[in-house]
Amino acid sequence: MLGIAALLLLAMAALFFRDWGAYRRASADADRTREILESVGRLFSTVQDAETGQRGYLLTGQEKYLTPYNQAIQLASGEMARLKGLLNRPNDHPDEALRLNTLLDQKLAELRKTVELRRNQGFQTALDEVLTDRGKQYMDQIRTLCTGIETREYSALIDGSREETGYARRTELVMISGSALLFVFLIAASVATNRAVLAREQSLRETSEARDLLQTTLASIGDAVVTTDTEGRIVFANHVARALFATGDADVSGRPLDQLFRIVNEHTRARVESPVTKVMRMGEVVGLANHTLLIAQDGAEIPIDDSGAPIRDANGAIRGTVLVFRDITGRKRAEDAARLLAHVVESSDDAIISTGLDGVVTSWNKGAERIFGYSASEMIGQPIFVLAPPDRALEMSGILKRIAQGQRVDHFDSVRLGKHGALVNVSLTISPIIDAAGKVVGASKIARDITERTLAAKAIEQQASLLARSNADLQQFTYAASHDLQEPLRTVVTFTQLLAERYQGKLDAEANEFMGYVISAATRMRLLITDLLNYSRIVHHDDVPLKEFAVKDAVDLAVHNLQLAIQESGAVVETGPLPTLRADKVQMIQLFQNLISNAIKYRASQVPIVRISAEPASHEWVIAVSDNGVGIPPEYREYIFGLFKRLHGHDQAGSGVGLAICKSIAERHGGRIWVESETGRGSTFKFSIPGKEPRTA
Amino acid sequence: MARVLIVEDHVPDVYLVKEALRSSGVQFELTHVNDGNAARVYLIDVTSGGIPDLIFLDLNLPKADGMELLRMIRTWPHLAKVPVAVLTSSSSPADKEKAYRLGANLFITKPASLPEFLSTIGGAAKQLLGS
Repeated sequence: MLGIAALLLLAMAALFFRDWGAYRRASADADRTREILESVGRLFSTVQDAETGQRGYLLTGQEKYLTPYNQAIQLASGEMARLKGLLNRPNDHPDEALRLNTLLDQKLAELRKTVELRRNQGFQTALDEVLTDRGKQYMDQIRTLCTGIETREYSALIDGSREETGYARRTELVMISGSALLFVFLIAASVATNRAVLAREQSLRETSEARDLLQTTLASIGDAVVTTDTEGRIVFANHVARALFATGDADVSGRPLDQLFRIVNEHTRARVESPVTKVMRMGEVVGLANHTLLIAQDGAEIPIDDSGAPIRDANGAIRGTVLVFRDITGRKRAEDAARLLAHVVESSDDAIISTGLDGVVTSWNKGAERIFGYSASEMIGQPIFVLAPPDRALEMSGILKRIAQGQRVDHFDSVRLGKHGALVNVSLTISPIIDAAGKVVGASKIARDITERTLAAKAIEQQASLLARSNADLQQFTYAASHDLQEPLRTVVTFTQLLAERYQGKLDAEANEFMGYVISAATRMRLLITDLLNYSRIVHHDDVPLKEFAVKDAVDLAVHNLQLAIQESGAVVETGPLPTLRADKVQMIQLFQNLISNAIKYRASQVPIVRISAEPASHEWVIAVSDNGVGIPPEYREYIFGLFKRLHGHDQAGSGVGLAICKSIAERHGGRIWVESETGRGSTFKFSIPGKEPRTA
Repeated sequence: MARVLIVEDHVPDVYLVKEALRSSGVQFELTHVNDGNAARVYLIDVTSGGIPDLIFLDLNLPKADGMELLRMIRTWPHLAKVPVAVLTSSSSPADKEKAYRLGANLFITKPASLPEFLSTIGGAAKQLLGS
């Protein structure tokens, strides 16, 4: 740019100087022309002066007229010499000056001759000479020549002046256009310069921004970053590093790295070589040994992973080190968890298998090897469908379809085919494997071998159905027996009574006594059979819809039914707050009646007191009937609930069915019955009846 | 003199019914048939003993079901109005309901003690005979 400007200036100067020179030359030419014109004029007037003097002398003969003549003669030759000098320009014809000179000399010579003739021979002779007109001819020729020169020079003068004006105009043009060009150039240069300055500012700003960005990046990086000099003193430590070393907000610059923390082996606790030393020694990027702990200022031990690298200057000399530490607590925890998980999976008794959505097996644990007989190497990469018995292929693909839709399968019992063709009963729990993006990518299956369980369940089922049949048979038998026994017994009883009534006093005393025995035995037998029938009816009982009722009502009715026994014994029946229950009310009355009746029946010496209370338990009511009777020895607490089981020998009062009926009623309601007792201290019979919201009535 | 028919295979009960009628003071003439067929024969050919004033009918009978007999009795026009007391050892509510549905006037479960038997049957006879 500058070069262009200089060239432009140079060109302008050159043009200027050229035109200026031309102008000067033209101007000089004009001056000379003017001198020539003056000289020619002076020369011609000198010749005229000389001629005028000659004429005067010729006419008068007086010498005084010769003074201008003489002066002119003297001047003429000088003037002629000057003119000759002026007329030697390159373009001038040399003959022109010579001819004028010759003509001048000839004229002057004619003048001198006529003057001489007058002086020496008189006027006439001189006149004669004049009359030859030679002098006049010279004069005319001189005049012609001078006029020619004058005409030419004048025109030259006019031309020169025109040329001069041209040069001046051209110089002006050059100056103006040059200036304009320079001005444009200056503006362009100024714009260019401005732009360059702006660019430089921009570049400076960018450099500074880049440095800031680098600083921010280092500071905000998730790992601890430390740079040190070659001596291991800290130059820079980012926020994470300061947190890791637990140095707080203290400025750590310039402090030796080794003062801030120690790095030891996790197992041996031996100090590990400082990363700075290691980097300086190796001169290249290094990583730390595994299992290293960083012990921070506050004594915290942090498992770390680290790497270090030398910082080199432009010449490749090491100027320091940069170290990166990563707290791998989380990773170690995740690794431990993953290891634990892997161990759990491996050591599980259940088969734990994962497959892709196409059914290709991707993992296969020991449990799967044991249950299905295939090793992991045999199965991984194989389709899971090899486990499908011929009739279950559709089931397996159906399950995979459900999994692909994100559903899961829980405890689904099925059958799979083992390696050696054996069928394995399995309980399957299959759930989708979902990747980080939430997409279902496979299935994880847990298969529990339930072959044994299935067999056991089958055995139990068989046992149960056997038992149920046997129970049903027994109940049928009990019912039939008690019912059918009742008929003949009724006849025995009624006819013995009829006999006794009709023949009272007509037989001897022994016969009466025997009849008494028959009646007594028959009556007892009727009691037994009636109770047995009752029991059988409760066991047999078709489900009566349960109704909500106040337990207090059932107790009152039971007490009412037992009025006679209560009056005879003077027993006191006390009831606490009792709830409402959903139950078979008739059976509940029976239950209370049996328990209260027992309490009175097996009383001790004092007046029987029976207390009935209820307390809520989780989802059920526990109702207690306690007495102050003889009590029950611990070893009989289960026994007494059996059919026909009695504690009190040939006591007339009991049939041994009452508590069996109670047990049956409690169980039919989904509850249970038990007794808490000590011999001689009374008994507390408790039974539970389920109720969703136990509450006090 | 009331004509009473008892359809009963268990002879001791016939004695008991007789005893009950006797003790109730009702004047009666008792006819006893042992089984369902005999009852049918007797009831079709009423000329032999005349239309009974009261029938005691056991349910558990040989050769014919007591319920079936009851149904027949109620379909024959000449017997339609004769009072029938079902006298059975059954205490099943289902039997009781069925018997009443078929037209029984009383359903009596045979009482298990003599005094009860006598009073129940005697009372029933007096009630049904309208005396």
